[in-house]
Amino acid sequence: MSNRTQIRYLLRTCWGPLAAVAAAVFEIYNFLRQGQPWRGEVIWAIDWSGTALIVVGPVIAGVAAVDSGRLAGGNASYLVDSGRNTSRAFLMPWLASFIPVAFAHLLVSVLYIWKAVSPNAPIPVGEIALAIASQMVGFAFYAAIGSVIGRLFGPIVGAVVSAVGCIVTFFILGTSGEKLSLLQFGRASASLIGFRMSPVFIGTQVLVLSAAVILLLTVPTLPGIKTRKLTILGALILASMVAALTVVSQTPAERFVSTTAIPSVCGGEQPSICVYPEHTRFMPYLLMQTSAVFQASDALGVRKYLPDHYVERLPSESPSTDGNGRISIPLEAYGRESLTGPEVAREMIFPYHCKALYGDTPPPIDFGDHLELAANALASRAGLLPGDNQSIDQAKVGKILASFHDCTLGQLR
Amino acid sequence: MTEARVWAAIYRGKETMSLLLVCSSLYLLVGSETFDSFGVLLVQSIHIKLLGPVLASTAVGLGCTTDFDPRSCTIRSLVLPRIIWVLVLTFAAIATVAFAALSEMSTTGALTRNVIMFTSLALLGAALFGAYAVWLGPVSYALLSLLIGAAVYSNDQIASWAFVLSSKTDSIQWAVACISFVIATVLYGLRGSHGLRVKARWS
Repeated sequence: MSNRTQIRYLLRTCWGPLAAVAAAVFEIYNFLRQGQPWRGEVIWAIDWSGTALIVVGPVIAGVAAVDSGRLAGGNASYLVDSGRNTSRAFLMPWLASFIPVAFAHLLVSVLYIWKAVSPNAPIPVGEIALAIASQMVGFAFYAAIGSVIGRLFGPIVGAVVSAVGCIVTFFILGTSGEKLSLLQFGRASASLIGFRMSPVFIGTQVLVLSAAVILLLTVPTLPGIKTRKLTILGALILASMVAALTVVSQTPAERFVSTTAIPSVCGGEQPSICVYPEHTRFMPYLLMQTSAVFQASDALGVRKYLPDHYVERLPSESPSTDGNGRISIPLEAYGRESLTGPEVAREMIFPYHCKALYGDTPPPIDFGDHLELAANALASRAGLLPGDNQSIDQAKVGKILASFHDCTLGQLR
Repeated sequence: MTEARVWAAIYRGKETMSLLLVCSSLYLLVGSETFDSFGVLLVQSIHIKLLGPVLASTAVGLGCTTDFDPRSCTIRSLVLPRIIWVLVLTFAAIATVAFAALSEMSTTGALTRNVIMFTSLALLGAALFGAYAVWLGPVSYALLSLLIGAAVYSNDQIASWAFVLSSKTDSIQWAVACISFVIATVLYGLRGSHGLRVKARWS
């Protein structure tokens, strides 16, 4: 047996490299989909790329099981050192599934970073490196589970057991928001400005999973080709690893910790706006739209209810007390370049300063309707509402905005 | 009768039975639970029992594969026996899932639809790539449905192509599931499971 023989076997027989091609296609799709809402935010981008592991992980585990099961099956015994307790040959199916897919993920991560870095925003190099490292270890872990199970159960049943088993494992170890979910590599459902990745969380994840990978790869088996049998020592190692992973994953921990973020990109005069540097791309549209809405408010005589200065709002913010207006970018707008006219008008008049909106009691039943009516009226007068120019009840808009101003929230007097 | 017994003996019936057994024990453990997050947040909570058919259908697919080529001992056409075998196993899977889920009648339809849909993918894997690939279709389809078809960011509701996650059925879903099942069954009937060669083991 030589290394050359092993490499020839790997290229001709192993499914790992093939699976990496499929994984790369999926990763590219994941990169392009939904209008790339994470643009500008590197942390969100890396979190988004980590969601690929939810699909790719169990599939890679199954593929690794096929490869290692076939290697252990006896037909490839010429590759396995007989006479020794363990054989380096069994690293092969693990490497064949792990290296190509990790390489593909690394390339796609470069694409993400290239697309997500915004010129004015700070780039948290350490966090990015740590997060990508944790995703790499994630692939290694899934591949290692597959290669052990495939070796024990054979390529056919083993593949099913490890793919389905990894989905179940992900359920147990990867889906909790408050605990140290070891297999949580990305959630990606909203903008992450104001948060940074917790180095403790990700560091623990990397260390624990690496240790698990090393254990999985060294699980001893019987000599020679009778590799389907698990020794008592191997069983003990596996059992203690499962126990340790379960215990660690129950520890309370937060994946993201809050940090200060300053909306430092400012512009405009009537009104002036400041947004976070990560969202500079919205700025030209916002300036144009907000000044148009301002002029419309003049024309409708409701200018006095709108503040002169607006600041981008974080989703987690409490009621604003500084007298400035708030504009929060709606989730749907991240995939586009700009906000629609009614969206901008709605954000400009939304009473973010009213404590009543942050409590448990819902706002008055008319609040939503009135908000919509006033926003559409302003957008329509500003020429930002395509299509019909319906008649505007100027007095009613004034009353609605007055009620927003003094926090009676749409109860008209 | 002997022929039927021989048939059952050379296909992977043992694996099918074990996986169906595992599937029904999972139903007893967690069959009535729901989940609303799968790493990513989902648009609505989803019944775990709807995913049981992934395992059951993989079991059916495995049961349709063999290391032994029946063509080597008969000159009869195997198309009809293969199709009958698929139907028998699929029926067994539907029965297992429906009984194990102990579900009210309203979700039995959805479970049956899912078994049919996932089984067609498993059979395609068996026919095109062989026994190693049976799991690939059902597992990938289920995962993609969850991540792309039901995650909060992409959708307001479960995407229509990810209907396996919905506990309600409609005629279009039934049509899609049944048509793909017929296509997969016919393909499998014509080809058998991939990877069979009429040659001796030792060559």
